[in-house]
Amino acid sequence: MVTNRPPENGSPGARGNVNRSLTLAEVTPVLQEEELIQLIQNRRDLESVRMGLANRLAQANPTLLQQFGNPEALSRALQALAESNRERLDLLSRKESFFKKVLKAPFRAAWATIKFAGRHPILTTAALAALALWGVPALMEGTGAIEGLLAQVPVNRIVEHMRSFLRLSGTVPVSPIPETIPPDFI
Amino acid sequence: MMLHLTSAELQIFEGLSEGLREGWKTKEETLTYEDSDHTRAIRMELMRLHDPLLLAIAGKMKSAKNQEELVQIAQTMDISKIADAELAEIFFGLGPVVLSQVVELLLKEVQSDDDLKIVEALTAIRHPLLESLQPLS
Repeated sequence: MVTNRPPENGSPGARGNVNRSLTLAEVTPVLQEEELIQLIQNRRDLESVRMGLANRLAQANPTLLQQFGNPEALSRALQALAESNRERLDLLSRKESFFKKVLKAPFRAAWATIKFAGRHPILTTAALAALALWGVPALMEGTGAIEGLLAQVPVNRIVEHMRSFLRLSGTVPVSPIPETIPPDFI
Repeated sequence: MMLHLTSAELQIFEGLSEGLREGWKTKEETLTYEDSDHTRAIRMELMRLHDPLLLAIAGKMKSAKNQEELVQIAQTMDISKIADAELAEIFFGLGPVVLSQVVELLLKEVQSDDDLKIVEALTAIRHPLLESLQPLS
């Protein structure tokens, strides 16, 4: 589900034997995205971090080293790749920061309370909306399937909530909530 | 028992009966975040789910042949069976704006202390979510 879209722009830094850029698909089997985050951070040791990552990449994929000519060129291409994915890496960094906080002991009680809610219609609907946005792109392309789902879940509150979440997401074409939901729907 | 509520949520809370409000303290959530379709789409792309239950639901939703199947699949969702980390993935993916909407909806339907405890838990998670998305100074 997670897609690594290769950057479409060229690699201004690469001056090796080939004039091309690195793609995330070439890099992520070896380097973690978390490591690439370091390349968009304001680090004093950026140069050594970059060379370290480039050397690891070269070691794991000698063809890349051949194509880029030398580790320095590979290092520059790596930096260009990080820059072209800056927004994505920035959000990934923020996600890590969020996880580091909320997966620690002080938040266990909060998670337990949320989970205790079990099949709470509002929470369930929010989770389903996330799954729909994440996993069912076809449903977001006006096929009407989500509409059908929302129209038939037998609790009118779920219908309203899911629609509002999906509408808020801005990704899904959601038709207006019917003013009247049949009483036998509840 | 402490609720971290936005000013809009505080208004809803103050509209609750005295009995419901009894024993609860409030603190204003002052952090804000302006979401966008683009940013939300990237967060969704970064969402990594491993929970077999969630993957099964997402997979079944993907392959559902008709609306009736989708309804059946939706009804199998049970938050209590989802790991904390997976819920954190979902919350980060949805973002603080949707989470605030959830909080507001919950507040409007509060009928007991247990309902407020859910709000308390959600707002406790929302605050670090907001913190993590603040512009860098």
